[in-house]
Amino acid sequence: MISFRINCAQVWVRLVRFVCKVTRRPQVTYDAPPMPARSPARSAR
Amino acid sequence: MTVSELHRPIDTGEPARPPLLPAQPRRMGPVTRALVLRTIAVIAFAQAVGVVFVAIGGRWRAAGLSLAFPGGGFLYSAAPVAFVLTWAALTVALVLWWGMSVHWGIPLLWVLSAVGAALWADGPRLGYDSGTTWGWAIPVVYLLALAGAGTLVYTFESRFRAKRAKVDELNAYLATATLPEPARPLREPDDMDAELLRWAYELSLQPVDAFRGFEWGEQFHGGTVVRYQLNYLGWALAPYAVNYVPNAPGQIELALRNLVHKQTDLRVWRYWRTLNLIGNLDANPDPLVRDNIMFSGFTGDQINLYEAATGSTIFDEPGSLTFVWEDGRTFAYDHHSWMEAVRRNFDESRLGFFPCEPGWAFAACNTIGAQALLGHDRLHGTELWSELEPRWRRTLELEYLMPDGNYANIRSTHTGLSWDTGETPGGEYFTTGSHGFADVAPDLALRGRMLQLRGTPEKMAGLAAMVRDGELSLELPEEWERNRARKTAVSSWTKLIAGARMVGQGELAEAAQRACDRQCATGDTWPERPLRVGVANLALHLLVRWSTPMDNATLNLRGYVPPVGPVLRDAPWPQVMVTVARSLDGDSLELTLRPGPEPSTAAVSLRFDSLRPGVAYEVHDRDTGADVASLVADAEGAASLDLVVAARRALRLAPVAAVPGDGGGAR
Repeated sequence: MISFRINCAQVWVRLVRFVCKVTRRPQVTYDAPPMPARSPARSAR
Repeated sequence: MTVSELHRPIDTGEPARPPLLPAQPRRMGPVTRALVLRTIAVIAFAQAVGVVFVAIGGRWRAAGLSLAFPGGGFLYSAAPVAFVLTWAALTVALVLWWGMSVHWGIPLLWVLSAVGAALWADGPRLGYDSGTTWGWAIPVVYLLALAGAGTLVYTFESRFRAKRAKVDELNAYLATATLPEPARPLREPDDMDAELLRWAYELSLQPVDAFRGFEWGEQFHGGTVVRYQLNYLGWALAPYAVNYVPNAPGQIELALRNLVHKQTDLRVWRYWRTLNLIGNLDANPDPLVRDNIMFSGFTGDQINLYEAATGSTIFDEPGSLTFVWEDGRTFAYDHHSWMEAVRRNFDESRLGFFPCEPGWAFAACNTIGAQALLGHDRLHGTELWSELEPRWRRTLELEYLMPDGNYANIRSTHTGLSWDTGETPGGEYFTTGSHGFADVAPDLALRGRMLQLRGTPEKMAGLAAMVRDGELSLELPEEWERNRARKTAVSSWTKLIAGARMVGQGELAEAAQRACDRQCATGDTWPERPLRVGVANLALHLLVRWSTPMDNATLNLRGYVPPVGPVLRDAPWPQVMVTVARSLDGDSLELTLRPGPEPSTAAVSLRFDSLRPGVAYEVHDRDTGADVASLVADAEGAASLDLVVAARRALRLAPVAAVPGDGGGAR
């Protein structure tokens, strides 16, 4: 195991918070987002 | 017989002994070594090209220096700001490599820094004349490259040697030490257990497409990922089903089933298409066909435990687990084809463990994937796990084991690299999976437990001495949750309770449980949380809280066993909630009922079956001894009882002429 001296998990959370701040979206909500709109079917399996 | 059964802890009398650590540990396993050598070869090739470019001179020299050390050409081109920006971007790329499988991020930046430096060679300079070059940058860049490579080698080698130096001492400990038997009390749920169960039921029993009270945020990593919240709740309710309400499966079966169904909600698994596209350059949204063991393995385990706890085979039906993508494409699975997909991924993996996020194979997820295959084998008589097991063990022991008995948390399936990503202390652990190897590798579970608990019995004994009259007067400091949405002390309490039970300090565990409730209770109900903690960590707390006497490893090995004694088949939710329904003697039924979230002042109808046909039963209050009702079973062994449940009611249903029980215990 090598060391990069970077706590990826912590930096990740900071990145998420930054993106949420820029996009003015809450980092955590207590309900689901709306279901994504359906796009036309490409093929059925 | 499976390899795990062959590899039981070495039985040389008492106590059982685990396998010792390798006396001459390898630095890397064979697959890891091949991957690392390939990575080194690619970097060496880039260096060779860089040397040629540097020798050519001119703008090629700038490009070559960026190949030698990312952004190095910018230093040569007198553009130090661009050099610093390159490294800031590389840091973000490293995190995105781990977080979103952007494998191409670092190589792309590396190449772009070479191209950019070449293009900039004659360009404008900030504070210098156009075309200025810094000749001193050439040796500095090569020194930086050497220092970078040297640091990586040094951190790897020094860590390896430090761990290797401990091997003799650790083996002496493993050969002689003994651990106390874990405490596995049969608990009577208290008021907080009831509040927590009600919260878990209300989360689970809302419509399948409703997620009120779950924590939603980014769905790639961390505490706002809903799939993990569903997993953990399923894992927590399964032991509740077998330990507390085996004789009243109705409410909890539906709750467990809904938690699985919610996993098929597009908003829960939609993240995978993004990861698959970025990490595998594959636009297929099917969440099971490739990688994604953090979904397929975890939820596979959840499905097994649902089936083992309730006996329901609803997910064995073809198409019972169908994913519908945005464009209407469907990916139809069932319990069997789900597990076959997990097995296929294992088989196709060069490393032996297959990725969670593309390119990243975690030991934890691959252990949970193994648990899932084993559980399916136990329930359905397949050989998905038993055939895979030798290879799985080889990967764990050769590719992930470190000299001191820790396992690396993560390994890149592209580069073979592993580092401390900040997810677990030190990026390693002695046991992993949600069962600590107890079912998939009992011998390694014992070794890991012994290493993990080194010194713990003494620490727990110190804490146990602080317990007075069953109470622990202690508050634990609050720590940030992983998503840093709030601080909580619950996770520390969860560890303390689990640790106390693991070293046989049952009284301490119970006292810690009460102290946790005292410190962290909010008085809130769903959609808020009864304890001051996020959903994922609360569910993990419930998992520990309710995993006694039977834990999920034991349940996974046992499979489904129908309850003995009378069964409360129907109890109307949300008017009433069953918190205890178990038969300790196979003849009578201990029953605790509480008002549900929508209590009724009128009597509710309870329907029993599995009674002895034609036999009269009495219902009496377990707290006061007062008679409550009597009933007679019909020819099918069924009977009904109308009862007002305005507050907690602890009852015992027993045949009038009770036959002494066989003492079979709770199942």
